[in-house]
Amino acid sequence: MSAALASEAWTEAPCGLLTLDLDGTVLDANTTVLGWVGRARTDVVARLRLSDLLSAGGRIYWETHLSPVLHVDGRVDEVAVDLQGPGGRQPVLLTAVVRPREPDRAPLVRVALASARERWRYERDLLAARRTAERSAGQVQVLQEATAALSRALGVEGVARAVLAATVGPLGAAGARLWLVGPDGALVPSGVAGAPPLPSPPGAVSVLAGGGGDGTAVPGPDGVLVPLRGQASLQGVLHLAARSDPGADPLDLEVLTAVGRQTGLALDRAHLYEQSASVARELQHSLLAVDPPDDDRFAVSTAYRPGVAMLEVGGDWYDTFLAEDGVLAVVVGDVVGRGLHAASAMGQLRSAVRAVAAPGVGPARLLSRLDRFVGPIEPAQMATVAYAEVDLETGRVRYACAGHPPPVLVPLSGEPRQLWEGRSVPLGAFGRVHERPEAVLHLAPGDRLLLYTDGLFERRDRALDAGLEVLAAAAGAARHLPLEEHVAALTSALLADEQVRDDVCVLLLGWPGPPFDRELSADLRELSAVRRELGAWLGAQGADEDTRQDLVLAASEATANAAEHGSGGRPEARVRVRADVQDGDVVLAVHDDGPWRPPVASAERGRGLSIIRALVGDLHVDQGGPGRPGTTVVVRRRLRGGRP
Amino acid sequence: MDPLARNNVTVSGAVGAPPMVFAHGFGCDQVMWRFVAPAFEANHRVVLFDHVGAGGSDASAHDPARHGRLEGYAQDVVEVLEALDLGPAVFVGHSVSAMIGVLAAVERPELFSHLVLVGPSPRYTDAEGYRGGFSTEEIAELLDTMDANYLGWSAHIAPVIMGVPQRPELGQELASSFCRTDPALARRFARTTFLSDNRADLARVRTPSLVVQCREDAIAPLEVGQYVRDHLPQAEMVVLDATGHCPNLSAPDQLVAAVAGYLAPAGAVEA
Amino acid sequence: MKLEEQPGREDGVRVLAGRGELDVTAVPAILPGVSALVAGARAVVLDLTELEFFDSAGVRLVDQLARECARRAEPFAVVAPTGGPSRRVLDLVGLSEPLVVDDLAAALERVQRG
Repeated sequence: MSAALASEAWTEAPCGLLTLDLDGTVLDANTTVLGWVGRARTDVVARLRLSDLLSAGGRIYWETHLSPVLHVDGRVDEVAVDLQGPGGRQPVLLTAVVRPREPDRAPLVRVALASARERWRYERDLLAARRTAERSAGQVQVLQEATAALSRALGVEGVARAVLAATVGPLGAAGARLWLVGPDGALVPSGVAGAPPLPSPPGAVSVLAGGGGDGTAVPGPDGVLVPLRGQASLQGVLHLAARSDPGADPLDLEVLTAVGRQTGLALDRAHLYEQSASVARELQHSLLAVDPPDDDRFAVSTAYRPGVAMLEVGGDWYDTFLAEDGVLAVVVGDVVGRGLHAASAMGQLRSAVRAVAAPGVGPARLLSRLDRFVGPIEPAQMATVAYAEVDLETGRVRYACAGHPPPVLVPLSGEPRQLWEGRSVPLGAFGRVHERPEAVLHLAPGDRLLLYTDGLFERRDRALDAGLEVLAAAAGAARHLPLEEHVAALTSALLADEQVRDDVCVLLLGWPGPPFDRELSADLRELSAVRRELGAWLGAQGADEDTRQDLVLAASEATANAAEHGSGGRPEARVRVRADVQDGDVVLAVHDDGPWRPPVASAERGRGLSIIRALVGDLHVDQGGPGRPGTTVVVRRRLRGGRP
Repeated sequence: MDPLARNNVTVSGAVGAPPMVFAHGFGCDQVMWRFVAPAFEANHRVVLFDHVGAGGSDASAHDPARHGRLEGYAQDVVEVLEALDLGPAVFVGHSVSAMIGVLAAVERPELFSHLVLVGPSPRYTDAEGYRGGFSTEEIAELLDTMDANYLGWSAHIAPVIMGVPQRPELGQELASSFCRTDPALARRFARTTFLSDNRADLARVRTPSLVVQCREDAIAPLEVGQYVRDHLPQAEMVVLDATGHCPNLSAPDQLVAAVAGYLAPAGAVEA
Repeated sequence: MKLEEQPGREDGVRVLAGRGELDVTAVPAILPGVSALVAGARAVVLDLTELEFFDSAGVRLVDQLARECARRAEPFAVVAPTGGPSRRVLDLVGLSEPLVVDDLAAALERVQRG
């Protein structure tokens, strides 16, 4: 080709052609490119650099990417940049090659620019579609993470925690503030996460609360307000603060609206759940309501503590009733599992125990009959039961345990011990009826018997034996407290750690033994002996030394008084001294057949009476009536620690 | 994660000599120092690395929260220096790495003996009473340009064996992976770089510093370099007789001379 | 039970003591002999330390002894250690001041002061 043709070919080529030196200065440019940038040749050659002809973005790109690549690799291929012309931008694809150095020639850069307008339009659409797809994929990912966290959450508090954690996690906020609608319809602050925005002016928040919004997230002061809309109404509002880092992504309103809706629905579910959980608990409590028989010869105190972090009702129960005249049955049981099935199985078992217990049956046979009972009742199978019958006159106990933790004997004096005898398998084990053993023990006056379920002592991080030891020690330590305080002290000592645990049932039986009942003749020859016997009885009941001395003195004085009235000279007249323990108090009654006479007869008797009054908290004179001859002086005092 | 693996750290030069760390700027990777770093190997322990998301670094270590701020990159640098445990280093930072170095030196001054800031800018966008050189619209354009070239990256992704025109003695061993960054990460790095404002951090620097600037630099104009020099407590400035933003590629000999001259009391350098 | 003079004193102070229980059954037998118990002593000390029981009848006895000693102008003191049964009752009826002391030494000192 001739030089002129070649030159023409270069100048009028349908693409832009330039020659640059290595620092970018334009050494030559053809007509096409000059036309695109709208400049004359003389204004450009040797005066401008290529980057001066590009848009601002392109200029930065040239300096930071393209020029370095040219220096290192020696070429760039098909890079999209925009030329800046008078009428706007001309998208081009740029290819540049550094001409290899020849010994005496400085390196040149040959640049070809192909118009990319059509291509640019196509690529721009592709890019937009790609961006949308990426964004959707990103949105879906974030939404999935947030929804998974919400569906795992339990209860309103759980949902609140989950959504707050999501805000500073997948949702990418710097912080958040949550309001939930309270029972009276007003918004209540319900937690923050990260670096929360300042509390909103009431106006913005209540606009959403009042239903002004259509459920979408809206940019608000210092961030974004997201309504948490449930099925029927607004459940709350979330206020998010965006991150301020330069490289941070802005908050995505679409995703936030969707998460807000999910959270609202999750709150709906959580409220329903909590309601039904409380109904279930009420049911359970009604099943556990116990009305012990009315009999002075024993006392029972019970406690029930629902499990910590347990979400449904459980199957523990306790009961006490008369198996036959004068024989008290005490039971504690534990049905496997939780939820309404377990609770209803528990109710059935409880009734079954009462129905089966009868004169002549006894603990071992009762448990065997329960094996048959639970046969068709699947939720009741493998329940554990501790059952004991106490002869209230003699203190003799028959007991048996079907797979249940051993009862604990807490004697008035001596070490508490677990009762490991009389054990057999849980109810209905292996699907058949079992012949079961029972054991016998004798209570001494003042002894206590403790039945309980495994939540009292079982802990994940502690061996069972260790737990039982702690239980026995705590039971022993509190043994001199009145029964109810004993139960309270036991449960607080064992449950103070507040660890995750099962439900706890506790039943504590106290057997004071027979009351003190002694008659003596009015000549008081046996007074000294009666004093000694009463002193021993009081000690056996657990009275402290001061109480013992004071009550023996009071009894002696009252007896001397009674002898003086009642005898009136009659040697055959008798005085009766009785004492028993009621509710932590000693009640002492001294009776004679004579009428009450105010003790003016002797100053001594008067002094005796004033001594009694000084010793006891409560003195009462029952002067009898028609059909009830005689006078009874009744005094009452705390068994322990009551010295006035 | 081991910082040395995470940041693709390479170490060369004189064992036991004071360390000199080169930090590449926006858009590139440690290869951009190939004409400068060797000059210091005789008298320094030379350390090169790639920022997370660039070059041969471990892209999985990229954390949007951490790497959404320059302080995150500074923390990466601190961890690399601690892992190397070579004593106080001369830190040569190009472009945005100049400010990354400033932030690291403010945080842990004991790790740095000198700062060399090549083409630095504490803020790229204009503000009240401050000319950074760009408007936010222009930064948005840059991001669009980068996105547009996402689809064109495929041409660079396939390794190409290239000669290096000015240094043919280096042979043709280099697979061209230069300036090849995951586009999503590059975009985030661009936003972090161009939307940061670290002017207030300059006054907190306790390390002696050198500002090196080309006489014409479209990315970091001369007056920005002067601003940096004026606001650093102990700084000198050298203006190179060169143009463009990457004197380490376009005028390496001048850059080497400027740095060596600044460090002269510390040691000589091969010509 | 009986109240008896404790032997071995040379200072003329008569120390009366008993063991066991001083109650409504024991006191009537002692009361008639109260004059004889205190007659002719320079001073009288009633030592209740060894008693296991003491009631309002015992109070009456103490009262009687005190009167008899007063009639004879003989100083009188009662030993009843704090915490013991006798002291408890004497405190309750308000007879402890100034009559009752905790130990024999204090009682002797008191009666010798006159």
